[in-house]
This record gives sequence, structure tokens and C-alpha cells, in this order.
Amino acid sequence: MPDTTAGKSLRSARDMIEKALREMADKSVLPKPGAERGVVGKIALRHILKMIDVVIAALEAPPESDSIVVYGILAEECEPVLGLSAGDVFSALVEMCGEPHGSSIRPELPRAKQAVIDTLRREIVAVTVEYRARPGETGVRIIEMLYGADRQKVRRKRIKQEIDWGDIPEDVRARIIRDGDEGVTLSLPLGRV
Amino acid sequence: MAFFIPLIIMAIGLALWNRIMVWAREQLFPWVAEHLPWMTETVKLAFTALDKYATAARRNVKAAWKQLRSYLLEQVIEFEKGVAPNTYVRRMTALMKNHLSGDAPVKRIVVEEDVAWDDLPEKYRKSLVAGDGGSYRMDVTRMRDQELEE
Repeated sequence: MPDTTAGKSLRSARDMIEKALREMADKSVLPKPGAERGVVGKIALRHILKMIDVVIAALEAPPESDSIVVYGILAEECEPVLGLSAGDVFSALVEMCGEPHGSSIRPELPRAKQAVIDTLRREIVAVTVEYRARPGETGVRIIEMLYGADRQKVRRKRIKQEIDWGDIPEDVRARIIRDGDEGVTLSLPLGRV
Repeated sequence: MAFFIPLIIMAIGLALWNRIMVWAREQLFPWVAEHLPWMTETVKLAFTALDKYATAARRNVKAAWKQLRSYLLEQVIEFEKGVAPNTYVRRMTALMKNHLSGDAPVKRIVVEEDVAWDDLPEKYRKSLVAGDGGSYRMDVTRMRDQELEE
């Protein structure tokens, strides 16, 4: 959220400090008594400047992509059904769906456990994510999971949620606008072996 | 303080009701974790099974439910026959607000799951056996409201 009140006031504070630092630099051309104190003050101000930059960056960070939200929902759904912890399933899904460990999607995410990946590959038959929307309007996201290790008796779970137009992934929105598709279905590449 | 189970819950059986509380919580949990993360503990508490002797716990559950209820407009559970023969579907539908202001958009969350015969309410099983092909619907929010009323 770049234009929040917090963002604006932080940015103006940042500009003021930068200006003060510049003025201090201009004046320090002529050495004066008490110049050392000025140096300390400048270091402190530079620190504050850096902190403000960090906060502004955090405020302006793009919201989580919808794929992260989908992994999160699936992880929560898998917990009661497969008896795995949601955190483990989340890391596993991120890696299985082609985001290598340590990539930008969640750099702090722990490495997925191989046993969890194996269980998911064995138990989950397929996961599809469908977006249905008209340009600019609230749409629907439908996650469908087919699961069951015994292929004779596959079970189905569907999670349907209304979703704001802006939260729909960009490429899906593009397809809806460009091709007039009202529904776009993606299937999660779970890398079955 | 006298404790009684409201008739409406007695009619479906306490065991099933406690299971419904678990399903209801599981349905809302991913959504709450995404949109109202500060509410996760409240949601857990709001769907806790009531212990008939613990009045203090009951008060906490009631407070949590009241708080959740200002975001949760309605939660309904439906059972019906699946497309394939001898399959059944449980569908939970919740209407949730993202934040409290009056004009906050209400979002619909639907979770549909294949369930086994054993997971169906007894009343519905009876009507199926009797050859009635209809569905079965319960208003979870209204029932919980009644259960927590004193």
C-alpha cells in the first residue's frame, strides 16, 4: 500500500532528514568547533534514514500472490484429511509446484520434507484451480482437490471463494479480458512420478 | 446455572453437533488465517464444544462466538446425493465480512466434500432409506446462537 497515510508521512520525514544531511554536508566544508558532534548526529540520521527505507519497502511490498493463498488453503485442507501439518504441506506444495527452495516466493520457507512430498504425491490425485469472473467484477475461485491413495475410491473436495478482481492472477485476468473467457482453469503441477 | 441442550440440537444428536462444530471451524479457518489473522484464536474458541459444567469456559466461548458473529453473517450446512450412485456430498456455505464497517463486502465461501454414509445425519439417512431423494439443510449459525442463549 504505497499511498497510505503512514507511507506518506514516512516519505516526508525521509525527505526532511535527507535535506538536513545535505545541509550538514554543505556546512561541514569549513571545520568548526563541535564538528565531531555533528559527525555523530549525521551517523544517527543516516541510520534513521535506512530504517525508514526498510519500513517504506515493507509497506510498499506487493500483496501476496494468489498462488501463495491457494497453497495456504490447500495446506489447511490437507491437515485434517491427510494428517500432515499445514506448515509441512505448505513448504512441500511450494517446492512441488516449481518454486525451488529459497526462491523469491517465500525465501524464509524451510526446505520441504521428502516424506511429505511423497505422501502428497501418493494421496492427491489432482488439484485444479478455476477462476470465473467478468472484467472488473468480483469473481469466484474454485479449488478442487481429488484425493485418496486407493484409486478406486477417490474423494473430492471443493473450496469456492469469492475473490476481488484485483486479487485474480494477472495472466488469468489478461485471458479473461483478451479472450473473453469467463472461466480459466489451471491445474497444479504436482509432479506425479 | 441450569444447563440444557436446546431442542434443535437434541434433535440432531450431540455427537453430530460436535462434529459439525469441527467442520464449521475447518471451513472458516483458511479464510480467517488469510483475511482476519488476529481472529484465529477467537474462531477456535467460538466453535469449541460446550462443557456443561464449566460456566466460565462457556462464557468465553459465548464471547468468542459473539465476536465472530459480527463477521460471520451466516453458515449453513447441506447434505445431498452425489452425482454417482451411492455417493453423498456435504456442502458448507458461509457468508463472511472482511472487516467490520457497515459497507464491507460480504464474501461467500463454499466448501463441498464427498462424505460417507456414516457422516450423514440420521434423520437424512432415514429419509433416504424411505426413498425420499431430497437434501437436508441446517442453519449452523442460528443453531449455535440458540445453543449459547441463556
